[in-house]
Amino acid sequence: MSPVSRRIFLYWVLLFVPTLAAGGGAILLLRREQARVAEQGAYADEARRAAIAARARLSVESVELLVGDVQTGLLDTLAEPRARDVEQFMEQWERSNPLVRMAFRVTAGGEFLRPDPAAANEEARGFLRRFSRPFQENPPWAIPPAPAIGTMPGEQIKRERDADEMRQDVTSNVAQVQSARRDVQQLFKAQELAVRGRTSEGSYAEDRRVPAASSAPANASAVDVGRAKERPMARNEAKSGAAYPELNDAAGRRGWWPTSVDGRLHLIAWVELPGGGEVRGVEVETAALLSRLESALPAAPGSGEGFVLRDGSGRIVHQRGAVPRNAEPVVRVPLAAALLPGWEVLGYFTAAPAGSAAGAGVFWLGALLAGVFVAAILAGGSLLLWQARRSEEEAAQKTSFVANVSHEFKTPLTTIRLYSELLEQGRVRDGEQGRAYLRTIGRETQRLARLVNNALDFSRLEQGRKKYAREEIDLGAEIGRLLDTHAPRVTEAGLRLERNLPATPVSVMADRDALEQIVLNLIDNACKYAADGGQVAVTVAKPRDGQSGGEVRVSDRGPGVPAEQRGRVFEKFHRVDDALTAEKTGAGLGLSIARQLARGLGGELRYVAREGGGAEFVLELP
Amino acid sequence: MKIRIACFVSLTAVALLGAVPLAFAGNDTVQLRVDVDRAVLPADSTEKAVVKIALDGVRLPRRETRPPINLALVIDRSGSMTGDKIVKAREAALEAVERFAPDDIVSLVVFDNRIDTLVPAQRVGDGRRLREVICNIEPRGGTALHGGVTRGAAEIRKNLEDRSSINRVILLSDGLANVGPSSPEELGRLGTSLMKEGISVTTIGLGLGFNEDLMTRLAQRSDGNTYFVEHSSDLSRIFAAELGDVMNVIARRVVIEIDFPRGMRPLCFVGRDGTIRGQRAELRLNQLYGGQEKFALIEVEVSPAEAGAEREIARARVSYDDAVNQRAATVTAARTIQFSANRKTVVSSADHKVQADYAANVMALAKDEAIVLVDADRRDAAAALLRERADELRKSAEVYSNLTVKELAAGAAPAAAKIERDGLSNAERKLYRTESAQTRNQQSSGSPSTP
Repeated sequence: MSPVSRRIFLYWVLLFVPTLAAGGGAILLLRREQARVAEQGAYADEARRAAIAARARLSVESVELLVGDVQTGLLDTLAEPRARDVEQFMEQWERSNPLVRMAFRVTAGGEFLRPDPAAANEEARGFLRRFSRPFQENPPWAIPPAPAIGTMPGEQIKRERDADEMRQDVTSNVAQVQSARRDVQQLFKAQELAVRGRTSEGSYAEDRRVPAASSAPANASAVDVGRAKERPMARNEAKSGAAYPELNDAAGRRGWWPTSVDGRLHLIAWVELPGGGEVRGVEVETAALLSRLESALPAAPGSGEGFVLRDGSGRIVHQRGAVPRNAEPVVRVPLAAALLPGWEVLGYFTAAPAGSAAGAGVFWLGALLAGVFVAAILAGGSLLLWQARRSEEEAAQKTSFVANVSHEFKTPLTTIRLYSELLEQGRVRDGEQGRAYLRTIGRETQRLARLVNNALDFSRLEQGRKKYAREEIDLGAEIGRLLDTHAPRVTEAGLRLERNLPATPVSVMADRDALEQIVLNLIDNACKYAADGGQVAVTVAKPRDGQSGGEVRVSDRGPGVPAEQRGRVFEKFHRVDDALTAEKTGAGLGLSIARQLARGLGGELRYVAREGGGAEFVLELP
Repeated sequence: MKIRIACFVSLTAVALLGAVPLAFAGNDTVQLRVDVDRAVLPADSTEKAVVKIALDGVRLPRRETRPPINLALVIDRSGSMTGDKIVKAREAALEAVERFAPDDIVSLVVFDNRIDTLVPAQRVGDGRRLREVICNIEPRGGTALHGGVTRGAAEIRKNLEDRSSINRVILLSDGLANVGPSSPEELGRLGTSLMKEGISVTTIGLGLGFNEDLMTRLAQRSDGNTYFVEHSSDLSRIFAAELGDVMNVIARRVVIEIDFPRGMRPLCFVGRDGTIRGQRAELRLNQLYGGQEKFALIEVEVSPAEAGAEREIARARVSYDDAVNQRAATVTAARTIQFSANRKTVVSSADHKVQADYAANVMALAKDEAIVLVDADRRDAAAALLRERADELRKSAEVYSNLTVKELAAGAAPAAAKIERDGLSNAERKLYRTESAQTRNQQSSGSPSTP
């Protein structure tokens, strides 16, 4: 590697390495940024999911509280000692309380005291159809009392503790649940008052709901709240599969019995009167209860959040927010089996599709920009370096050219000076020898003229100022004349000139001077490099493919052009042997000029390796 | 005043025939009558009589005396409402807003997959907010009908303490409920429970895609009106009719108790779902409208009596919240019948109006049954049922020369033939269901025959 090349390579390395380093660094940073964004997204997702889970748990709590309120209200009302007007009370209750579908009284043996199987309306018949058998065969009050209060399964205790913690975080639907609970509690308060008021003649004033400020509802309210607080502690799971909670107090055993008839949920609240002779109960109007549960779901779910309350058979009862179809819920919180078995609240989360994709997008865009930047720097740098290298090469060639041209000029000048001095000093006495000297001087002068012509032509060609006087020429005749003129020089170089000129004229459009210069350059070339080959052949022919124009082939039996140099012999200043100590002198212009002239005439000059060794140059003219 | 004179004249006529009115409404908002299909029954045989307990609401004297309204508009904005339907629904809702007084409480709930309370229960004021919101309702998504009604009811419930106001949910839907509970039974139960709270649900089924069983049952159980609007261009008229009813409510929480003396055994209510316990029948209505008659028909088995005997057949007591005078009120009425061996006397004592009402309700029930039979692919049975009922009515009409009943019975034959031949098209089924519900509920507003 030359010092120049080495220097250029060093520059290139200096450019390449930092650029690559900068690009790599940019990619690395981008990747880290992307990871950070993704991580943030994941954290946000995780937080959202946790919030959804918390909301779902809170919803469950709210549903349980609401159902618990209904349960408490119904059971408290049922448990009130009421011997005299119980029938009237129950009738009134059924009519006016939307949560009461059917009030019933059953003996411990399962015999219906109310509704009367004999005088039953359609509603009552439906009730009897649903429950007469279970009440006789397997009444919920016959199941032995469940374990004592306070022995909740550990799982449940944990869940409730979790839920309590969650409750402090999420308070979005507290207001609406409270409103729904107030409404439910009010129903029972109003109910009791209405029933008391309507003993004889129902009057408007008595029937009006009394504000909570008066003493009776205040008491009732206190009882309600007390019960509501007490309730979660009373949840029990019975082993028999039919789970139900049971409260025992002075008013008698009481229970809540969710059961499924014909695939539909029915809820029974019952109280066994002290003494165990009679069970009073009520079938809850599930439609009314369910319609109130909607308020338990979060009031305003965030975007992408959805909540579903599902019943025991997997049907959606209420939904809020965005609930994607066929998607897996983020969280699935079952309700207390004792209240609504198999029911659950599901929380869904639909992640905004923008999140991670946007991160990746930024990364790829950044990487692309960094890549373009690096590529631009490298390409620009490389182009500059290439240009510098080329300029350097050209400068070297020109230096070599000047040296060669000087050398070329010097040789004939030396000869001319030597012979002219000899002639001047009169040392040549023999006239024949003197003429020979003069001939040599003339020849060398011609050589000098050709050299100068070449140099001038080269300069013109380089500047694009070369003018051609194109005319129709008979190529064979012209070449014949040209060879006649130059045959002695060829012979002198020790070569036998072989002419293959056609009998018929080959007409081409060309400039005589340019043609002559091309052919002379080719012959000179042959004389210079192929003198050992013993012959040079000049062939004029029509193109083989039968097109118009003609071609001139100058072939020798010299060493030919090495394969790797063939592409470059027509380059200016190029010489196969470039050293100043080269055996053959020359400026490296001949072939370059010949080709430029040929092209200028609309033809082409090609090199082909001659069969049997040697070089062959083909000049094609239009 | 004229009405009262007319009543007095007719009463005198009835009295002359032997029936003695025990009590009659005086200065009440609601007038109660106990009518019988025949004032004189054949002697010495067990007879079936039809007792009609009729409640007439007096017209509101002045518009400003009307009670305040607590109303929830629940509008379906499912994808199927796209196009003309939602445009007309918006127009109808906007027209409705114009009719509210500033003190009326109105909420607006829309539902598709999800339920949105666009305007929570609040006073209408100048109605600007409501109008703005209504103009922006755009259809999308599924049909969470149950949730919509539930939410509407929740909005009503916020102001339920004011017992003087008229509580009403107006549900407009054109599609099948496909989110949440969606069976007619479940929605019917919801209606029953809302009725107990004094909330009525009026259902407006639009187009041919909704479930008429669900819509009529929800309305019937909650004592609301029901409408079938095949073309959305009729929506404005229907809304106007419905609001006309709502603004014309004169009595609320109406409890009708009918006591039957010994020897008169109540068999069943015809058309309405009342309860019968022993000798007592009971029916509840959520409201009565001014200038409209609502009634209950009860079939009664009358034990044999001698000719010339006179017995009380029923005694009715109606208690209600008088929405005009803001007080609780009770009216009572009773009716006696006579017995005669003379067939002519019996025939001439017939009350053609009661017979016609009875016939209309019998046919309405028959249509409901026919729908069930057609659904079960028993078209011939459905047609036979209609013919049988029509036949019975025709015979009775001939005996009593009741032209109205005759016409009604005559109309059943082509209907039966068509059912036998083609079954019921979607539109016909909806029409049958809706008309039947309207007849049974004595809904006077919005039926196609009374534009």
